[in-house]
Amino acid sequence: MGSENFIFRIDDRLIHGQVTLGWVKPLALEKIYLVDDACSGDPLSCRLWETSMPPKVELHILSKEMFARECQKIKLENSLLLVRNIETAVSIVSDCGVIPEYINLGGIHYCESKKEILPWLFLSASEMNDIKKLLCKGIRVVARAVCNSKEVIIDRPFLEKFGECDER
Amino acid sequence: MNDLKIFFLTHGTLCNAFKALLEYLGADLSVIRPESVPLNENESADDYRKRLLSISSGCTPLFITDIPGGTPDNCAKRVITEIGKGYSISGINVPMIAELIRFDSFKSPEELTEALIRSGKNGIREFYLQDR
Repeated sequence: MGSENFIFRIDDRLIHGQVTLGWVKPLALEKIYLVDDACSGDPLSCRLWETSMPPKVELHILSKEMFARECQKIKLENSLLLVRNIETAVSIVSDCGVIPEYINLGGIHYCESKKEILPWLFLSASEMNDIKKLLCKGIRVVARAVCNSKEVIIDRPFLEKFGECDER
Repeated sequence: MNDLKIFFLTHGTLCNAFKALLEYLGADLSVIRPESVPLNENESADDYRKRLLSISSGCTPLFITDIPGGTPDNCAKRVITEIGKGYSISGINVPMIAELIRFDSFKSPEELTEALIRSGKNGIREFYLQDR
């Protein structure tokens, strides 16, 4: 799953300017699959996300369960798969067999007990361990705000600089 | 119009410049009472939304945001649905802001938002020389 203009992004702001102007438009992506249990169960939230979409780009909002059920039928080329957190990304990789060439870390913002990795990327010990699970599957994990900005490779040596990761 | 309050919402501190510009253009800020609310680089969407919710209490907010579908715009729409009232316009630009100079001549928020959108759109013009 490496050649079809497919982006798998983790971003706690979900659909916003960096996503629509920094990824969808320059890569001419045609669809966004937003996999998020909270959004998919809330019709008002779905409507609000629809209003954030650029013209002519399809938005599909699915729960994790719906995505797991449908993913074999979904054509991911020319699309962006967007999730709110690393835990959901791990679950999509493990349960749905979606193994992208790389996973893009967009913004994961500060809250208590998280460490600053980059100005827009704060990770807890548990999230760092989740990233290691993705690395074990052979998936590259890169932090990058928009598609033409410099990527920061998040690998084991990088994570170990921040400590507190279990060796699982 | 009495409880209408105007908020400029942008990524980073650009919103402060719009507020300053409004004063520079001669507007009476004591009448318009605009507030600028920057989305800080490391601020989560949820924290920003809570901040908007808190400053919108007791008024009808008119949010003027930078990018359609950007985080400030998304949060503005969420706050409006949460408090059950308010207005949001995206695509802030200087011609739009300049319209606020005659803020007290508008009879309703709808009349104001219509004028802001019209000025924002009409303010984008192109000029070029065909033969150099």
